[in-house]
Amino acid sequence: MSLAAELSRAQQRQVAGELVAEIGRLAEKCGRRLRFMEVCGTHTVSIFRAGIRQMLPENVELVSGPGCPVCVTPDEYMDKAIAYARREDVIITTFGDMLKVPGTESSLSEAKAAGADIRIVYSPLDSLQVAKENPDKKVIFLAVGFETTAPTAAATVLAAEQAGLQNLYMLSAQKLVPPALRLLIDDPEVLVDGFILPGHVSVVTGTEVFRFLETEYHIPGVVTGFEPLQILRSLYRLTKQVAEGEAKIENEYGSVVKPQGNPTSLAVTSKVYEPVAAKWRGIGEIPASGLKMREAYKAYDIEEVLPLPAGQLPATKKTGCRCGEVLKGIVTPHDCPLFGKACVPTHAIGPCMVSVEGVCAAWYKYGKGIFSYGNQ
Amino acid sequence: MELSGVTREVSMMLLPEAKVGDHVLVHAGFAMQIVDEKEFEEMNALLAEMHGAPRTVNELGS
Repeated sequence: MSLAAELSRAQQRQVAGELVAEIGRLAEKCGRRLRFMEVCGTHTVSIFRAGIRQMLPENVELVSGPGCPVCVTPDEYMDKAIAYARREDVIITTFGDMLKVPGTESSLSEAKAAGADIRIVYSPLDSLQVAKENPDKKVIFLAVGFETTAPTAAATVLAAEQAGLQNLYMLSAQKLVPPALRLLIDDPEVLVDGFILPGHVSVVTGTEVFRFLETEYHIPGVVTGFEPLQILRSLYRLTKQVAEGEAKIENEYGSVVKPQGNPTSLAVTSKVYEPVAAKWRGIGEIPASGLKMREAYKAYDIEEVLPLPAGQLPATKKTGCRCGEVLKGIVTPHDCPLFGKACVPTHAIGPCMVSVEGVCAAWYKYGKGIFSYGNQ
Repeated sequence: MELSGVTREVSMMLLPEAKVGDHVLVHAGFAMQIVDEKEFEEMNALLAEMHGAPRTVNELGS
């Protein structure tokens, strides 16, 4: 039973109050302002929706990291997706939040308006049916996401293989969280006392993949769920660890996160995919932070089967969007000259404003004119 | 699979160990993990711990 279902609103409020008071008391002991980062878009949204930044004492600050899969997907990927979408012989299947993400010159949604066959799916597996019904078309699923989504794309490839489908492909830009955490910690501009670790990623990976935070960097990390009380619990654990000079990986989401994760998912992903260096929007290339299809599954990789001619992609251009620094928690959306002016949810310039899980979108929706923007 | 009152087909390919009647976490049409109903106990244990009781929740889950 979830906490929200088990406790009355008044009880939840009381527990939240106790946790916040305890967090404040522990942070006081540290004698400085503590800074914790969440690296999952669902956490970002939940924190803003519940007003957790505003609720916390002055000496505890929250920053958002690169946790929204759409937001870290580079322009070039969108440009490739758009180039494929424009082909007569292609049907694109995708999660809905990819449609409005800007590429260099346009978006999938503009391509769709111009006649491209782009279909929103709930599950990558839905692409199988589209492929079966359209044997003369190449069906391409836009495989974007973190460790939680990778096995669903990989399982779809295995299902296509089993069904003998010859016209289903992946355009892959999957990302892995641990290498991005390393990059953040190694960046001298990024100052973080601990991480709220992603709940759904950990369901698949388990908790051991984050152990390096403890052993190599002496930085605490706590896995947690998405209800406001679960997030406060993780902040209590993190603050307590810092106050006591500890740095451990803890799990406050034991109801679904097991130390070993989901072994079947991990095996399925690693059967189809292998780690590769990958580009993150605004951050750059991070070694071994992406996934590419193994030799044995190249027949399902659209970039192998139908490579795009180099001249077909637009040259990159600068927009003044500070998404990269926002994703690292170095600047807040307010520091970006475009935020709230040229860049708003209805006309987004950067991906952090496009996705509902983006930091800028969350600031815009839950912050504008109402709160004092957390403790910044 | 019933999702908040709506019935939808969900793939069990990534969670073959789940049985009929289990509560599962679903992501993108796939069951990803069996949900243990221990959230409430964990919260109570944590509150007791804040009031000075020894820690009873495992550090890395069960």
